[in-house]
Parts: sequence; structure tokens; C-alpha cells
Amino acid sequence: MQSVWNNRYLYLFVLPGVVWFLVFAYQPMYGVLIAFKDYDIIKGVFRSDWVGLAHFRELFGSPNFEVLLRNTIAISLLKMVFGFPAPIVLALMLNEVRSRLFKRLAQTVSYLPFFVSWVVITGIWYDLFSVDGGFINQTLASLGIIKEPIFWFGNPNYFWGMILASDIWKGIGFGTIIFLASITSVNPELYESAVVDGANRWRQVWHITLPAIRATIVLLFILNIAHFLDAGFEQIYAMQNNMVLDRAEIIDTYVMKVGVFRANYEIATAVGLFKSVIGLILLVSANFIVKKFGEDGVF
Amino acid sequence: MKQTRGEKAFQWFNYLFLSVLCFTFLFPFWRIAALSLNEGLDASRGGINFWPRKFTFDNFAAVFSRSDIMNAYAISIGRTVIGTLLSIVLVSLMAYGLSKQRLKGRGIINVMLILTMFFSGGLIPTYMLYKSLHLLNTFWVYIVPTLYGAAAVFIFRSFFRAMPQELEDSAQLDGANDLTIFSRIAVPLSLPIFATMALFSAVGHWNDYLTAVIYTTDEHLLPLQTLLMKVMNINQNEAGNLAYGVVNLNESSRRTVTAESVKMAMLIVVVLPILTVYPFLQRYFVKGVIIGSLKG
Repeated sequence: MQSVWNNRYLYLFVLPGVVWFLVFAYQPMYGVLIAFKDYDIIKGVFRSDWVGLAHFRELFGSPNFEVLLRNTIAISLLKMVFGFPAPIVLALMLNEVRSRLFKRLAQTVSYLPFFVSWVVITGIWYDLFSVDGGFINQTLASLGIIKEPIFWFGNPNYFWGMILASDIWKGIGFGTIIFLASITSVNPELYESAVVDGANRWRQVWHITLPAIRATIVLLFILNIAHFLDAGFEQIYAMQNNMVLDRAEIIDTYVMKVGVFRANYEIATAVGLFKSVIGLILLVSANFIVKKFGEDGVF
Repeated sequence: MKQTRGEKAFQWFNYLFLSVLCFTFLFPFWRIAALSLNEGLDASRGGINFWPRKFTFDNFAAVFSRSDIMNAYAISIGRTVIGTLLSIVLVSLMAYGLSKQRLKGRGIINVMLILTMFFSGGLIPTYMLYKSLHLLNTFWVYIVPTLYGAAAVFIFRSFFRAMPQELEDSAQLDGANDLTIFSRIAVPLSLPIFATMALFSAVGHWNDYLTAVIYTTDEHLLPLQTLLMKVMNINQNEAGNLAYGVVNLNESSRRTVTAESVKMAMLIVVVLPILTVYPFLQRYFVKGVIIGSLKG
């Protein structure tokens, strides 16, 4: 007890945080129970009656769910396959730039969209891709590539592409920070001896740079996988519209509409819980696999 | 070092590609700026990409004459300043405590924080919690739920851990308590990380639009981003289907102002504060990101 008293300030520093995490992070975890209950506002979470997996059965049986899951997985998969490697490629290209001024300029400019909200990005992209007078349609038309302006954001066939493109555009520059940092920490002697052995730049990138930043890539990839089903709530809610809803409704937007706007708490919680559990399973298995291959995991 | 022809070609391609890429990052913003500084009616004829044709500040005058925008501005600034300050103080204090071996129970608290990074109750239980805490439709729904974050605590903690122990020991001999050591020694030595975390917290507050969509229905609580979303009529879902006449709300502005040109001006108004700040903080946040993504 003496040591607690001696360190009383330290405990006071930490205490509000502990209380906050208990209330704002752990209380909602407990609230997840309503996915298994017939929730009654008056009885509260604890005393409401159990209904077992009824909500999940209803959810998995509904045709909505298939669409939701398809959209969420498709968008996430696109972002993982194309969005994840994009900053790595950009970092490798920036690393080849000899002029320090150009490199700094390029970096500063490429960070710009990261600091802007999805609402603003959506506004800017709507303007850029608009049917009447949008820069993209204008340019494509003047180059003779298209005859009629394309309704980029209103056509379901283009929606996933627009989501992927804007996501890469917004995040690619900022994503390079961590990769550039790990590239610059590579021992320069490795390159010198490779040059002596006659390796050209491609071979240097392939045999030295990439292996050197492999640990960073793997770590970020695992962290990405944990959020696989997130798909991008802020982005997609801002960019979706009724014309493309069949391709644009993801788990998160559905949970909000059904749960918050229509007060259907149990079903919405069940969808949310499904998402969290899948995310956790993906994280743990990715971590396990990566460790099997001799890399460092997250835990 | 002699360059082969292939390498030279690659260098050219690299510079060209990166220049084009930079253009795609800059141009959309530039075009919006040009449109916002052009007379609305004239702009609707099209063809404005790089420079305004009929220069005017009317669009901005129209934006600032709307009382709902000024109110949203106040909400956004208020939550950004208060939220950032409170969060930085609380998170850094907690991280400082956790960085000391002397604090017993550190291990449990660490595990408690790590778990929150990988599992959460999700939106609906969170919504119900805020409801029971009477946070819905209050200003505090922007502040209280974002005060702490496990990742932020860990980033601060790794910074405090790297500080030399001798500084603390000698201060302690002089009779300083932990609060004094924290505020007189730890904080001044960690200014870069404070700047980084403050920037990210502020950007998060400034750019957040979903919190208001989900947790508020009171129009006086709308922050700038959420109002922008409604004005632009970006999203016509349940929350955003209020019909927002942009121009007819202010008779004072001239006829040349159109709904479209006001939207452009409003975009600029929303973006400008951040765009003027981040290049100056670049040095710091690059460092902060690197520390933050290292383990532990």
C-alpha cells in the first residue's frame, strides 16, 4: 500500500483512462448480448429474454444478407489486392528519385488528400466526374474516346471501381511514409556489394529492398486483415446513392440504417457481431499463418 | 556511377509518372478553387478548369451570410479545440503512468487496451450506451467518446519510455512529484509527438461527419462536414434527405451566385484550414507515423 501512496499521482494519471475504457469500450462489448436476446428497453440488456440464435437465423436467411456480404467482401478484396500494394510501389518509385527537392515536393503533394474528409473528397470527385461539364467526361470526349458522357457515380457497374480508385487516391501518398522509412533504414553496403556483383536496379529492388521491408509489409498486412470487413464506412456512406445501392450497401451502412434509423436493434447488433467475429478470426489465423512462415506476428 | 540506357529511360519514366500523379492530387482541388472564385452563372457555361473567367468573391460572401454555416463552423471549431486538448492531456497522462515500472497492474491495463484494438461491441451497442448516458443530441457526443484510444496511448508510451531515466531521478531528488516531472520534463521533451498526435486528433475531429449523422438530430449541432454533406445533397439516405435550398436561403447575394458555385466555395472553406497547416507539421507527423507503426 505504501508504494501505491508514493506513486499516487501515477495512479491518478491512469485511473480516468481505465474508467473510460471500461465504459466506452467494454460496456458495448457486453451490450452485444442483445444479438441473442429479445431486447426490451424497459427490462434492459441484462433482464431481457434469451432467444438464442433466432436473430442470426433470420439474418442469414434474408436475401439482403447475401448482397451485403457480397458487396462488403468484394470491396474489401479489391482494396486489399490493389489498394494495399499501391503505396509500396509508390514508395519504391519515390526512392529512385535523385532530386531531394522533387522528392519532398512529391511527398507533400501526395499527402494532401489524406487530410481531407470523405465528404469533401466525394464533393470533389462528383465535380470531377459529373455528367455535365465534369473534367473527366470533358477530356474523354475531346479526345474522342467517348461520345456520350458517362454517369460514373450513378452506374452500378462503375461503383466498385470508383470506390477503389478514390480510396487509393486518398491514401496512397500517406501510406508511403512507413515504407519509405523502412527502405531508408536498409544498410547501403548491401547495395554497394550488389553493384560489385553486377546487379542492376531491378535486381537490387527485388533482392535487397523488398526482402528488407518484408517485415513491415507483413505486419501492416495482418493489421489490414483484421479490418477486412470494414470496407470503408465513412467513404462508402458518403459516396453511395440510391441508384447504386445494390452494389453500395455494405455491412456498416446497413447496420446504421436498420439499427439507428429504424431502431431494429437486435438484427443490426447481430450483423455487427458477425462482422467483428469474422474480423477477429481472420486476424488470429493470419497471425498464425505468418508465424508458421517464420515472420513476426502482431502478437 | 554510370547509368545504362535502360536506367536512364526508367528515370525519365519515373519523373514523368510521379509528376502526373502529383497533378492528379493537386488539380481537383485547384479546379474547385477556380470555380469558387468565378461567377456562378458564368461557371455553369462550363470550361473552367485552371483559372476563373469572371473573378468574384460573391460565392464566399454567400457562404458566410448563412447563419447555419456560421453555427456549424462554431461547432466544428469548438469540438476540434476542446476535443483535441482534452484528449491529448488525458491520453498523455495515462501513457506516462503506464510507461513506469513502478505502476503495479500495468500488465492488466495493457491487455485491456490491446483487446479494444481488435474487438469492439459495434455500432448498435455503442448507440445504446450513448443513449443511456444521455449523450445523444448533445455537444459532448463529439468529445467524450473520442477522448481515449489504445493506439494513441501506446504511441505516447513508447515515446515516454525512450526518455533517459536519470532526468527523472535527479528531479525526484530535488523533491519533484510525478505531476511536476511530467509537466516540466516529460512534456517539453516530447513536443514532437504532442504536435503529431494533436494534428491527427484535430484532423479527426474536423473531418468527422458520421458522428453527427448517427448520434444527433438537432440541426444546431451539425458540424461543418455534415452540413456540407446535406448542402451538397451528396447522400439521400434517411439522415440526409432534408431538402436544402442553397441559394434561396440568402436573398442578399447577387443573382450570379448559383447553388453549384456556393457548393464549390463551401468545399474550399471546409478544406482550407487543414491545407494551410499540414505542410508545416509534415516533419512531425512523418516521425509520429513511424513510431506509431512500430510494435509496442
